[in-house]
Amino acid sequence: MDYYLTLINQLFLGALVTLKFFILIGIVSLFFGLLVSILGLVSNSFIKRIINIYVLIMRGTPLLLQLITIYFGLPIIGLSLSRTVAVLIAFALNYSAYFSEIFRGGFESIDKGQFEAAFVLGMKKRDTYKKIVLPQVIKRVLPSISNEIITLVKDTSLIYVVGLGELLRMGKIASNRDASLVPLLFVGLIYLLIIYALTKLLKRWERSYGYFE
Amino acid sequence: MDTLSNIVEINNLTKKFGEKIIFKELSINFKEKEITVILGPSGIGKTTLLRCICGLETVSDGEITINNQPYIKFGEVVDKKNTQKVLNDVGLVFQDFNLFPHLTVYENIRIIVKDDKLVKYWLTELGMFEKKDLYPFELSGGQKQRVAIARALILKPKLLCFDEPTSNLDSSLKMNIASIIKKISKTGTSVIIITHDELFADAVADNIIKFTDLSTNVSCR
Ligand SMILES: Nc1ncnc2c1ncn2[C@@H]1O[C@H](COP(=O)(O)OP(=O)(O)OP(=O)(O)O)[C@@H](O)[C@H]1O
Ligand SMILES: [Mg+2]
Repeated sequence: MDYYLTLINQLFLGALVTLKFFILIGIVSLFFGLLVSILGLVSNSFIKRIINIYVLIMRGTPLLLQLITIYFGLPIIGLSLSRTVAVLIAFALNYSAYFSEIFRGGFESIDKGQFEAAFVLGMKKRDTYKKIVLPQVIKRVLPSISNEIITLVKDTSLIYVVGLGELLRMGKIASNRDASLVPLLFVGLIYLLIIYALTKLLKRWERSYGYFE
Repeated sequence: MDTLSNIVEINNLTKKFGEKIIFKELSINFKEKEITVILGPSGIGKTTLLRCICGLETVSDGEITINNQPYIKFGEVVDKKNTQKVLNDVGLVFQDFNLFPHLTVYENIRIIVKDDKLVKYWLTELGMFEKKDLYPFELSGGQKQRVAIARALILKPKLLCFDEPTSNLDSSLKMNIASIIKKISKTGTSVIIITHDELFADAVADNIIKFTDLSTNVSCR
C-alpha cells in the first residue's frame, strides 16, 4: 500500500509539471496563433511569405526535433536557455503555427457579406473584427482547436528529452527503478483522466457557442 | 420641370472585372427623394452598380457624386480620409440581408447605434420589436429583411439602396415591403431598388430605369 502511495505521489508531481506546461503553452500559443493569423490576413505579401515559411517549418518537422534544436542546438551558437524556457519557446512556436492555421481557416470561412455589412454600416475595422468576425470565427474553429489542445496534453510528454520531470518521465523512472510496468499503467490512466476532464470542459465551451448558427 | 436635385450622379462610369467590361461610360442620375427602380436582365451589372455606389467596389474610370459631395473622380476615391463621411449618407439592404448571426435582432441594431430609444423606435416601426430577442436563424425571410431595413435606417441615410428586396418574399409580403419603402420615401429618403419583379416595380416606383446593355456607352438621364 505504501508503495502505491509513494508512487502516486511521485506521479502526481509529474502530472503537475505536465499540467503547468500544458496551461502555459496552451495560453501563449492560442494568443500568438490568433495574432499570427490576423497578421497574415492584414499584412503585405512579404510578411505573408515569412509567415508561410514559419508555418511550413513548424508543421514540416517533428516537434521533438525542434525542441532538441532549441535546447541542445542553440548553445552551440552561444545561446543557452534554461530547460523551462527552451521547452516553452519550442512548444509555443510549434503550437502557434498550428493554431494560426486553424484561425486563418476560420477567418477565411466567414462570409464576406459580414465584412461588407459592417463596412456599409460604418463600423470601424477594429470593431468589425472584434465584435462581428471573431465570435463567429471562434465558433467555427473550436472543434479543431479542441483537437489540437488535446494533442498538446500528450505532446508535453516530449519534454522528457530535456530532463524535466513531467508525468511520463516520472513514470519511466519509477518503472525502471521497480522493474515494473505498473507505474506506466498509472501514467496512462492519469493522462486519460486529464483528457477526459478537458474534453468535458471543451465540449461545454463549444456548447456555449451553440446559441447561433 | 426639374425641381429636385440628384442624390447620386454618375458620369462616364466604367467598371471592369479584370478584362471583362461590366459597364462602359455609364451616365445616370438618381433623383433626390424619389424611388427609382432599376430593372434589367440577370448578369448585366445591376448589383455591381449598386456596390459601386455603396463603396463596396472600386471602379475603373468615371465619377460618382453622392448628395453633392464628389465621391469618385477619374475612377479614384476623391478624399480617402472622408470616404466614410460620404458613405454615411448611403444605406444598403443586401439581397441576403447579411444580419450578424451571433447577435439578437436587438443587438444587430444596437451594435450600430448605441441608443436604446432609437433601436426600440425603429424595431417598432418595422414591426419587429416583439422579436427583438430572437437570433437571425430563428426569423423568416421577411422578418430578416425588416431587421436589415431597421438596421440601415437607424443611421438616417439620405439614400437607401435595396438589392432584390423581394427575392425572398411571397406576394403578400412583397406588398408589405412596398408600403414600407414608400413610407421611408415619404420621410424624404431617396431610394434605389434593383429588382426583376416588374409588378413590384410598378407598385413602388416613382421612376423606372430599364437596363438592356451596359457594356456600351449608356446614358440615362
Ligand atoms: N467579383 C467579381 N469578379 C468577377 N466578375 C464579377 C464579380 N462580380 C460580378 N461579376 C460579373 O459581373 C457581371 C454583373 O454581375 P451583377 O451581379 O452585377 O449582375 P446583376 O445584374 O446584379 O445580375 P442578377 O440580376 O442576376 O443579380 C456578371 O457577369 C458577373 O459574372
Ligand atoms: Mg444582382
